[in-house]
Amino acid sequence: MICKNFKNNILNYYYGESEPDTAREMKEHLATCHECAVLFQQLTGVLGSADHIKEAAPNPFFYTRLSAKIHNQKPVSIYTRMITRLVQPLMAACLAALGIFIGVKIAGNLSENYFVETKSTQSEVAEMQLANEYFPKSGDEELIETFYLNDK
Amino acid sequence: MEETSLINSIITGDEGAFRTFVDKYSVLVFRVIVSFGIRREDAEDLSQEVFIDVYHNIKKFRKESEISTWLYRIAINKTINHIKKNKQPAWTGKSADDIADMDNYVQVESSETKFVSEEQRVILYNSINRLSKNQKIAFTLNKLDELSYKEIAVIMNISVSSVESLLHRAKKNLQKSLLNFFK
Repeated sequence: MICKNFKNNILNYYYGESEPDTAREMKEHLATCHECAVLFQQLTGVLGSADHIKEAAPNPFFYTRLSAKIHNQKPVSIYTRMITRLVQPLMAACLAALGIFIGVKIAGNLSENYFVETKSTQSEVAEMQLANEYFPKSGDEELIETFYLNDK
Repeated sequence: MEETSLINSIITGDEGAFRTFVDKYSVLVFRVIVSFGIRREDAEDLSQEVFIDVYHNIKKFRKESEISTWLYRIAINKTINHIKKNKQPAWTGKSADDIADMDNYVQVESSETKFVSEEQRVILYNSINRLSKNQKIAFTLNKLDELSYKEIAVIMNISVSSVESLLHRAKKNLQKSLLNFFK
């Protein structure tokens, strides 16, 4: 047997599920090939590491805890279950509606503010135009300053 | 006490019969949950949930199959749901602490052998995790819980040939995964 064939049958051989002829060839190969022998040893260690399950056992107070859990559980009536099943989707729907309402309100306030801001901007522009008409231009101010300076 | 009369006694509300039932099957239920790589504390909780379900629903048990088959089904379903719900895969992402926790099941190993077996368990569980759900169940029940093909077929509600096919593919995939690891 070559190493490739040995590796192809290694798991079946480990679990003792190889055909008798194959098992014999595998055994012979193991005795002669050091590399495959090491591999088989590693595999045996890994697959055997789950053996702890065979000895696993629950806590000695398992029944005491279980019994306490069963007796502490309040029996839920069919009406309570039905109400819970009805109330849960209703609550979810109400919350969704509330969310939409709040969203619409916020959006409405924002758009109102936008119009107010736009209006104020328009009135500011009108005031500026009026001011420009009544107040002297920058060129005139310079002339007045120059006038006072010259006066000294 | 015979199984049928034990079940009948539980139905009538006999606490003693339920205790006998739990004592008889708690190890079986606990081991099957543990074999799916569930941590000890979670395995205890899940085992309790299995028996609570039995306590409340034993009237529905039709006695067409063995009670152990029913228990296996409940335990496997609860375990698979637990893994899905917690997104805590049974075999992946195990920290060293989680693996070390497994040694609390059996406290007989020396610290040196414990370290080696912890590493080996990580390799094994990571490899098993790469299998599909049905391959995992079939492989775990056959190789770790040592159930026969027929028993697995009844529990999984599939034919014996399907179990054989699942196990064949599971072993091939596991072999490939383990050989890649040791390459």
